[in-house]
Amino acid sequence: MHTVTRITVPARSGASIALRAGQVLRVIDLEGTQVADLVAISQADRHEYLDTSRTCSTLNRIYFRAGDQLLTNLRRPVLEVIRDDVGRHDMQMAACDERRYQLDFGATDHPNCLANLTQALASLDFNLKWWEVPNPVNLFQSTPVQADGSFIQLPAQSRPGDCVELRALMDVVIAVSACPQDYVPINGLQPTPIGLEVFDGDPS
Amino acid sequence: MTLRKVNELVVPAYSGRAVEVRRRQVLRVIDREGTQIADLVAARRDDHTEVLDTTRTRNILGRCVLKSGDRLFSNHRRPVFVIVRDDVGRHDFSFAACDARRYELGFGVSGHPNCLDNLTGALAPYGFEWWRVPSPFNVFQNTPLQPDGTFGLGAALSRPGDCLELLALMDLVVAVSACSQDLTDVNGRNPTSIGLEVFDVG
Repeated sequence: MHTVTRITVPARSGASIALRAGQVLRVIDLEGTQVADLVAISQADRHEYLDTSRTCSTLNRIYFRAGDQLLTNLRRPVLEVIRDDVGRHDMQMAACDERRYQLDFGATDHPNCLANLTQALASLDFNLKWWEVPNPVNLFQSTPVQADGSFIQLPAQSRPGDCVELRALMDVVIAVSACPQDYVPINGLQPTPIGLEVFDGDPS
Repeated sequence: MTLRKVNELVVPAYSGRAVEVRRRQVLRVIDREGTQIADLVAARRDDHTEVLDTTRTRNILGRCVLKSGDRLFSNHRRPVFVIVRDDVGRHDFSFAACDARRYELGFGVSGHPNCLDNLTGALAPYGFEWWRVPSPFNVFQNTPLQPDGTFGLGAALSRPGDCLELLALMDLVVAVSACSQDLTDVNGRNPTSIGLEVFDVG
């Protein structure tokens, strides 16, 4: 299958892309150890979106695997995981936002995933307020839960070129942020870009 | 801390109610008959776009279990509540509210009462639509996350009269659903009512 579209999301920034049902999005950690926050919103109804809470509740687990379907807030399948090179992602953490950097690190105007996602969606005329942007699936993010209920923040396990492939099960707009977090080690303290490729059908 | 009761109501089994709670008031959520979950959402009274946010609370606390003394946070990362009393010590803030689709997909039941409808109905006078109802704090829900990432699905540990007390740090609209789930063990397969009491703190 030929690639329809190829985008590089520069480090610390966001990008968006429209997918038709059946198309496959490949999200590539180009340089390794880089988190990609991803949201998906139905093109037909922007009040229907990929919902991490309902996905975890319905799967009855907080980690997805190849073969899993990710669900919307109407519990309808929106994306199917058809390839996963890494096996460690997150659906429990919020996007980093302006307040996170102000409160925890005393940094103002730090680039952040929530602003990246909001701006990326607006570029496709999906003008959501920041508080309407859904919680993201944090691809490659390694913040697993421990036996005592705490989360630890580890560097992403993805190596250069590792990817996740997601098949769209409805027409959606996708936004991806190359996470700008450089105060904790989830991106190896050095944010890098993310690659996006769209295929008309299975890439393999 | 002296508490003076200013409001009380019962959330009947399988239903939802809203209550206004002022800054510095305490909301007591009571499991009246035991083994009953109360799904709770909250929004700032003068700005409904600021809501109690389970995901950011997990982030800020760095964990998915709660302790007395913990603060619960909004989507603005501001503190909304402090837990001032917890008789049970086991709650959930990872699970979505049960909704109509949950019963259709999981159990083949249509038209089942559900927390999302209960909460949406309770919040309707405040202008909330279903898609804006936040993911709830599931008071008394016993579905602890396991290290393998799965949820345990146990019956609530609360006994009759057990309560959770939340000191409000801003003026709030709170909605509570007496969880309608009767097809798994979480409410002991016998949903019952929840009591709500609001106190001034002296």
